[in-house]
Order: sequence, then structure tokens, then C-alpha cells
Amino acid sequence: MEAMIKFQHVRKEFNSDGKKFLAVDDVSFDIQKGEVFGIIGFSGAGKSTLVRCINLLERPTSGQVFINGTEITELPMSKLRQKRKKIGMIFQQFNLFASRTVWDNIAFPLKGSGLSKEEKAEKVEKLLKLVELDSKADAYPSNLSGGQKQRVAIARALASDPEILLSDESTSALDPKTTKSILNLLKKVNRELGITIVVITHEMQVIKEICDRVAVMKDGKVVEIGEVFDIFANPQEQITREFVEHTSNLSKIYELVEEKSDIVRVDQEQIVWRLRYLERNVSEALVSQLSRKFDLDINIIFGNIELIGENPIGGLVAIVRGTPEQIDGAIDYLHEKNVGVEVILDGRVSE
Amino acid sequence: MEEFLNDLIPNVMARQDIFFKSIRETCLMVGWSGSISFLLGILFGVTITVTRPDGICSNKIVYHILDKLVNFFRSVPFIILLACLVPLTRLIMGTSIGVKGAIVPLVFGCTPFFTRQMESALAEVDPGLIEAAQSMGLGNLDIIWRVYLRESIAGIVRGTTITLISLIGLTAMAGAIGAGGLGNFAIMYGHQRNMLDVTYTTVLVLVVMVSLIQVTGNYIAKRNTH
Ligand SMILES: Nc1ncnc2c1ncn2[C@@H]1O[C@H](COP(=O)(O)OP(=O)(O)OP(=O)(O)O)[C@@H](O)[C@H]1O
Ligand SMILES: [Mg+2]
Repeated sequence: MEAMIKFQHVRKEFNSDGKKFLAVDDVSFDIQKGEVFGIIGFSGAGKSTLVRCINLLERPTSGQVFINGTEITELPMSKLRQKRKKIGMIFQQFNLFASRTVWDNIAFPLKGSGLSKEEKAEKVEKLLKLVELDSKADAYPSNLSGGQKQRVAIARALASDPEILLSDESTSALDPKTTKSILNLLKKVNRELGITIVVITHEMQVIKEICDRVAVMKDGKVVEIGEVFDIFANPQEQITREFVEHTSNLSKIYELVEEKSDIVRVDQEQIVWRLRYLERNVSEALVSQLSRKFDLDINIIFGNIELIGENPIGGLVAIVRGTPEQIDGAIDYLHEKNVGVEVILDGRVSE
Repeated sequence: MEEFLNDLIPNVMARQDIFFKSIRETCLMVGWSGSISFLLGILFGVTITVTRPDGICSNKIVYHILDKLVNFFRSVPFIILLACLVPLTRLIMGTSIGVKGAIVPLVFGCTPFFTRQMESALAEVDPGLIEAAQSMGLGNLDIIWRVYLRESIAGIVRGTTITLISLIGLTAMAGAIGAGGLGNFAIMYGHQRNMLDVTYTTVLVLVVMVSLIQVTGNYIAKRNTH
């Protein structure tokens, strides 16, 4: 498969008050055609700067960016403007034109496109339908909710038939339910129109929801990159682990242990363990298999299992009762099955 | 009615032709110098905005020259500007008196003020909109026309209103030194011949003019705020 976007040793240095600041530090990777690619990192990691190097709103200090095989860092301004029309962008603050109606906002990029008036109308009509805002055509942005504004922004970004859609924190200003509906819309755009989407976010939830692959950025560098499932199942870097932990309630167990909560009180025959599903083929019957095979009582305290694509991911925290031999046997068995086991409290040794 | 007015403002009624001519002259001066300053102010205001260090076509030299020029002319009192510009006015208009002679100094007095009004109107355009337009592949001229100017119509109208009102003040001042108009009318009769009714009537007309401009400006600004 050919790369839709290719970063090659991209560096971006800012000069502010005579001080140099490296916002993007030697980044090289590819984003494939048709994929939804996520970029996650904490504030200031350089996500926006990197993504703005795709349409050259920010020009890399050194390195190259290729779009569909064309080195855009080399293009003259007029060609670059043509190319930009094929790269839509949406923002956290929506950036709609307040003096124009929804209809005019969506039609905005069509000026000078060579389409006839009827063709333009047809196109806007179609986009309005796609984002489910047919009834709001004549409204002004100030009368729309955040979610509706972002829908208009998406329609506007799609008006010039882009190959790529860049989304810079497009759901960060929205509530969870609206976020979900915008993410679903992006998914639809990706599936139905085949548009490659690059999503910047600082919420792992967003990545989990729609991305195929993800890059984790820290201090201007891409520290980890891979399929979303693998990143979740097996995060390599400390920062990635932090992001993954944040998305589930499983890490609450550590607080409970710290607080010596009643829920996690164990006696001599009990341990508290945390299981992590690392493989794509976890059998649903794992818990009952364990309890049957090793004669254990398994009392689940937390569970958090979600689907990424078609694969369950997550884990559970449980209190397990059994003889030391039975428990050890179970742990070995789990290792064999490639399920991560972490014994958080062990009543067998605590006394 | 006429009798009533004859009693109330006898000196004005006796000079109705001069009175109405003065109003017309004031309107002419405001109209001409206002229009020219409007165009120049938009041109300079936009130029300063886009050539700023973080503007869409930043250009230090152009920015600093324009910025300093505006500051310079803003800091010269109008009455002194009037005197200084006499030779230039003669050169351009062929005369330095009357309505014709007033337009050049009025433009010089008004344009820097309106340029600053334009700047602040344009500064209110969210940089995010400029960025969005750039990401859509718009060129700078399109951005100026379709985003900067279009999105700041309400602000421009408000700035224009303030400028026109201060321009009326300037024409009255120019009138005092021979430009004609209501200022001249009030000085010649009201002040020099001590005809108080002339002074008061002039004030009333000016207040009505200012109010009309203000009301119209507010209305247009409101219509353009969404
Ligand atoms: N125009 C600029 N001039 C100077 N420094 C800049 C500029 N733009 C960004 N930076 C700096 O570069 C770093 C990366 O910024 P960037 O906006 O790419 O981060 P981000 O990962 O998108 O963060 P956030 O999640 O807050 O949006 C920040 O430390 C920022 O201060
Ligand atoms: Mg950012």
C-alpha cells in the first residue's frame, strides 16, 4: 500500500525571544491511504505542529513531507494552495465564519472551483444531509450547539473533496455524548468516502473509538507507534502506559489498596490479581475455566473489557481464593495463555 | 410657524440661503473627505494588519513605515496640520480655501484615525478563521476580502461611525479658518457678530447630524452581527 502521508526526518524549530525551541524532533513515519491515524500526547508535545506540517500551515525547519508521493515541502505557493484544497482540516474551536450561514460556510471553499451554481447547491445539499443538518441550512453558527458547529466544519472541510482530513482536537470542546456522535461521523466519512483521517487528541478514548493506528508523541518525538490494539494491550513506553491506564477504571485498585479498603481485604487463602488481555484471541470463558480447572473462587471486583475493532481488550481485577498450589497453577496457566497477571495483594505472604 | 421661527432665531431666518449653503458645504466636506479617508483607511488598516510580524504576509519595513506615519499624523493637532498642509493643498486642489481647500487637510486628519479604527476592527477577527481559510487553500487577497473584511463588517461600521462623527468636528474646525460650512457660519455670525441664535442653531444641526450617523451606524452594525 502506498503511503498517503510520509514524514521524513521532519524537524520544526521555533524561535521565540531569541530562544530556540524544538517542537518537532526528527519525526519519520508513514500514514497509509484510507486509515484513521491517531496522534496522542500531552499538551505541548508537538502534535499540532506536526500535523500542521502536513498542509504546511507550519513549514518544517528541515525534513520532507510527502502527500500521495508529491513532496509538498518543495511545491511553489500556487501549487501548494491547490494541494491544500485536497487536505481538509477541522479544529477544536470549529472556526466557522460567524457572518455566514451554515449553507454559506459549507459553500465557502467551492468559490472558484469551476462548479456551476446548481452543482454547488447540489453539493452543499448532499453535505448537509451527510452531517444531518438539513434543517439548519439558514442558521448562523452562533445559533448552533458545539456538536452542530463541528458538523458544519466537517461538511465545509469535505466540500472540496479532500483525500485527507486533519482533525486537531476536534472533540475536545464537546461533551462525551456529542464527542461520540462526531467520532461516528468521522468514522462514516472514513468508510464511505475513503478519506484518510489524522486525528490529534489527548484522550485515549478517542483513539480507541476510531483509530486504526496511533503514534504517541512526547517532547516533539514519536516515542511509540503501532496498531491501536497492540498499543493498548502492550504499551512499551511509560507515557503510553499512562494514557492507557487513564482509559479504564482498573488502576483504581491501586488507590483502594493504598487506602486499605474493605473491598480488597484478603485472608490467608486469598490474593488479589489483575489480569490483562494481551492477545487478540481471549476466550470469553477464561474465568470459568480457571475456577473449574484449579478449583478457585474468583470474585471479580472490577472489569473493563472493550472491543477495539473486533478484539476484546482490557482486563479485570479479582479476589481469588484457593490453596497456594492451585493459585500458582492458575498463574502458570494464564502465562501460557498469554494473559498478563499481576498479583496486587497476596494474603498468603502478608501475615 | 414661520413667525415663531422668526422670533426664535431671527438672524438665522434672515440668512436662510447662507445657512442652507453652510449645511450643504459641511455635508460635501464630510462626504468627500470621509469617502476618501474610508478607502485609504481600509487600505492602510489592512496593510498594517497583514504585514504585522505575525500577519499573513508579514513585512517589517512596510509595517513600521505605515505604523510610524499613522502615529505621526495622529500626534499633530489638526489646527496645525491645516496650516502645514496649505502648500500641498494648493498643489493638489489649486486652492487652499473653501470646500475644495478643506478636503486635503481633512483627509490627512481623518485617515490616520480611521486606519487605527480599521486595525482594531480587523484585530477582532479570530486568527483561527484565517488559519481555516489558509488550510482551504485561499490566497492572501481572498483571505483579506472574504475573511478579514467580511467578518469585521460590524466592527468597520462602528469604526466608520466614530470616524464620521469626529470628522464633523474637524470640518467645523476647518470652517473656522476659511473652509466654509457650518463652522464658518457659526464663527462669522454667531461668534464675531455675537448672534447667539446662530450659534445655537448650528449646534443643534450638528447634534442632529451626529445622532443620525450614530443611529444609522448602530443599525447597520446590528444587522451585521450574527
Ligand atoms: N508559533 C510558535 N512559536 C513558538 N513556539 C511555538 C509556536 N507554536 C508552538 N510552539 C511551541 O511548540 C510546542 C508544541 O506545540 P503544539 O501546539 O504542537 O503542541 P500540542 O501537542 O498540539 O499541544 P496541545 O495539546 O496543547 O495543543 C509548545 O511548547 C509550544 O509552546
Ligand atoms: Mg495542539
